Amino acid sequence: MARAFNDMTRRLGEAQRQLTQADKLASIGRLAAGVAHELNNPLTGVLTYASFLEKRARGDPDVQRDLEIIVRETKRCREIVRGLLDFSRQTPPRRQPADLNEVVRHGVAIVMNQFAIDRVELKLALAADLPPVPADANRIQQVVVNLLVNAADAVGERGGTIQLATRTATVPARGHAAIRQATCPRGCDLLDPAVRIGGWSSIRVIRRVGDRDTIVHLDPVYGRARHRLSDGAGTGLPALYLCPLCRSRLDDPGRRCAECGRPTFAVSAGAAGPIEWCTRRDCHWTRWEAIEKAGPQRFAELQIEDTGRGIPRQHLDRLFEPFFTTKGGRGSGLGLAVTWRIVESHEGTIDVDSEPGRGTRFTVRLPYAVGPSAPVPPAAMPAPVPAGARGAP
Amino acid sequence: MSSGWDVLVVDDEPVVCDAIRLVLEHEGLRVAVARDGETAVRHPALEDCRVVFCDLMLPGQPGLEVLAHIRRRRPQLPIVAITGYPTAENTDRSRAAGATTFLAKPFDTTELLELTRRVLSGTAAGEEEQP
Repeated sequence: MARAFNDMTRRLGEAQRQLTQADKLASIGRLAAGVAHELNNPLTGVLTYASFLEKRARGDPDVQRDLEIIVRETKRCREIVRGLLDFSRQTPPRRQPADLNEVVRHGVAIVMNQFAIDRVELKLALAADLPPVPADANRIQQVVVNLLVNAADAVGERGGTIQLATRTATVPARGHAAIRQATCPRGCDLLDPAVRIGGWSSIRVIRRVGDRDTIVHLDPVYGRARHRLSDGAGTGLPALYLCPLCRSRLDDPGRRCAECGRPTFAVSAGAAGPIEWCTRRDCHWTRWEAIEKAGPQRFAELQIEDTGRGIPRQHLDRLFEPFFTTKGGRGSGLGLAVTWRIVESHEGTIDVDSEPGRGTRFTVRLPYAVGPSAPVPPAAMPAPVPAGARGAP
Repeated sequence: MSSGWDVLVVDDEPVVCDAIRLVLEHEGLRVAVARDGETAVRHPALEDCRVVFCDLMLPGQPGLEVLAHIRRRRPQLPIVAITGYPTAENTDRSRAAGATTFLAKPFDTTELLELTRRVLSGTAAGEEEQP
């Protein structure tokens, strides 16, 4: 079975490398589900026989201890397999009005024993007046458990404190709303899942200065301006912006930046209207009229903060990628990918702030208003706060 | 005349059948095994066994059909659906087909024994076991 497991892991790794980024998530999900199903039967054999023997070996402490290790490690395999299956699950959440505090208490009950063993102190600050939020309670509980387990891992063996708080938060669109659809005037899809900024696909455009073209990956979070440029040339020069696929112009000489008077360029977010940026590289002006008009949105907020080792800045952008782990051999690299997917499927958001040596804070926000009647189009939602190159396009 | 079986396990994986048999026979239960649905519905154990464990992914006749067939034959019999992944979707469908409760693979001895005790004492019927 170990050989089969290794072989499948290797196949999974090879397949992962061969796939194009765009198809990667969906394909890994399908492959992982197949592998996970195949592993469940042999794991049932190992787990049942080993736990049966463990019960019968009570008179022999040495044998019992060895069997305990087999049982414990097989249960770890079980969690990895369940993680793969959770990750591959694409069905929409079944949202019903849920008491987030109740969901949190259930999640806490699951990890509390382990926390006591690990000398982790958990402080709860649950808002008393939290209205019910439309959520799939089981999946949000999984988010709570995943984040608590991560926080406990970060705190490590020396022990520490984890604070968990819930509250209602009103969040402005600027700096938070994510652009989940972006097309050029001819309808080409500009989202680039190969270059993600904090989990979201960036918006890929061409910046032309003179006869020189540069690829720019725009920050998909409205108003945040953590764009990525392949070089820093031509800061003060007039620039054109083009679709990288059909080369149609994105800039409009007739529209001017409200701050510096230069022309603006825009992409379309479908029903959520156009989003404009200034063509001057060092000007941060941007406008998404439909989202600004809709006003701030209310969220049920869950915050989990630890006093652990923190996350290096260069890892923040990749945290939510499947198979990315900072735990070495102890992590499957799926916990936060699953967490991300669950929160995203709720039209919610997840932010992470971290300071190496001091700790990490995850903030999950679930909208009170969802679906077609929501005041803000589903395309708009707050997004993670990741690292990345800063600067205007 | 009694068939002499307490439990019928329907699963195409020999190691799963053997593991369930090992644990439950140690508790004094008599366990019969069927490797596919066609064999299961013809098995004499189905006449008077006290519980059926039925995998949802079977070769040939699908697990849900087998489950529904057993339910029609034995309206009061506890049926445990064995599933690799108890999603809300497949638990709903197997409940509709007649499953009493669920057992997720891979399980350990304690989980199997506790579930078996619950279904045999009649406390598992209608309980909520969300994935």
